[in-house]
Amino acid sequence: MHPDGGCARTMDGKPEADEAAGLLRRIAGERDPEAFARLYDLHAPLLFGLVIRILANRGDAEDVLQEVFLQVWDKAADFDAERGSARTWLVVLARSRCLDRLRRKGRREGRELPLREGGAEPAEAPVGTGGLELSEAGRAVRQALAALPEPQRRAIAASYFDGLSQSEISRQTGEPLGTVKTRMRLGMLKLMELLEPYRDR
Amino acid sequence: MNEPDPLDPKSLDLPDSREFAQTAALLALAADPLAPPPALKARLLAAIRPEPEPRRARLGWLLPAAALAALLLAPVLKPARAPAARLVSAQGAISIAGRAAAAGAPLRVGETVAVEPGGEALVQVGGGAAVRLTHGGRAVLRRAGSDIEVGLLAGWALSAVAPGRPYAVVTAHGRIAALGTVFLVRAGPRRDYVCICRGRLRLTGGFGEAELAAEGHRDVFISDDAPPVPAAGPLDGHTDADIAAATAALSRP
Repeated sequence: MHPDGGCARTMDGKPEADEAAGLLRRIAGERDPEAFARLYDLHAPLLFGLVIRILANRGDAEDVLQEVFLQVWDKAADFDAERGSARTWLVVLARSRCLDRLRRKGRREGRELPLREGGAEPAEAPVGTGGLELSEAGRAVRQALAALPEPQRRAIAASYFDGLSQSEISRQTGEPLGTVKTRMRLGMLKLMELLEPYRDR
Repeated sequence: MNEPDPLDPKSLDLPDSREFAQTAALLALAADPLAPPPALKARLLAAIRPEPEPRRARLGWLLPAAALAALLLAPVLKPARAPAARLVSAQGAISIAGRAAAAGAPLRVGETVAVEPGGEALVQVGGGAAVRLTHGGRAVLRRAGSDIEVGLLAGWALSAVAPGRPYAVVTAHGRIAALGTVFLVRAGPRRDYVCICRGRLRLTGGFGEAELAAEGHRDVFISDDAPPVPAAGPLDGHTDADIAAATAALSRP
């Protein structure tokens, strides 16, 4: 059953997914700045929301978003539509850059375990930009996270948004490592089930 | 090098499947989407701006002849995309076009050189200019006619330019052209800081055009819509030794 009770669709919505993949092909093949600008318009808000959520620092988030899109310009040919959507690829790039930066700054363990009720919240209030509306898939992801038992949700969020290892989560919560691992495993299995309608085909 | 992902399926005794990866990517949607500042897009578009098409002269039959000559001479000529610049020295993590780079590495038009915070890269641009990138400096080399210019995306760029050598640093807010000088540019999201350490500069942007000269350090801010305004004080971090190092790079072989 679809979490919203509506029709199933992929993470991107098919037309947008096709458009983004086409834009990446144009960037790789034709070095087309207009395709780059359109891809930026389509996905920068999602990625900026993600990186600011992970880094909790607006300046760092701007730097990382810039790095990600420069990487897209340089490496668009690496995108393989057979392995997933353009958005999945971009999210992986952005999150990887964020984790690198967190590690370099060595500030993960000083952070509080994240994720308030119902899902992630922005680490900073938007300054002069305004938050954008959540997509249907965004709402579904929040609902799926909210459906998890809180310890599972907190462990997954600490790992995903703060880059904490299982050992680090164990130290912060005082819970045995095996318990943390089990919680994350069960939580991810449940999310894979709940979010199946939103995955790329 | 990328760090291992703490949400690695193998560490959870789950298969490293496409389904897992896509579910993990979906979690990004739990964060509120947020519009980035417009200047960021402007900086990116400035960085990837295509090189202008070379003007085509009406050479008639000369073109096929030149093409044939080029074909015949190709094995003994240098590659068409010869390096436009070279990394003279590197401290900390430096990358060119996304790959780790060490002193001596070539830098071509269209490639980005990036300095991690705390690092420093001294780049010789052609024979008459050198730029020292610090504070997370990130710059892309671009061609402007027959000249090379530096698109500064982030961080600080201290440039030393030989008299008469065409050279410019371009940011989202303007173009800072050297008229035989040493100058520092710090790229910012809303405005750039420019220090004329010595010599003359021509500043061009949405504010129009201004020419500034200084015997010692003179500091201004430039933004899109206002004339350059004096800065309250100089930035630390570009010492006489830094300037001497950048200037010395001009004459290195």
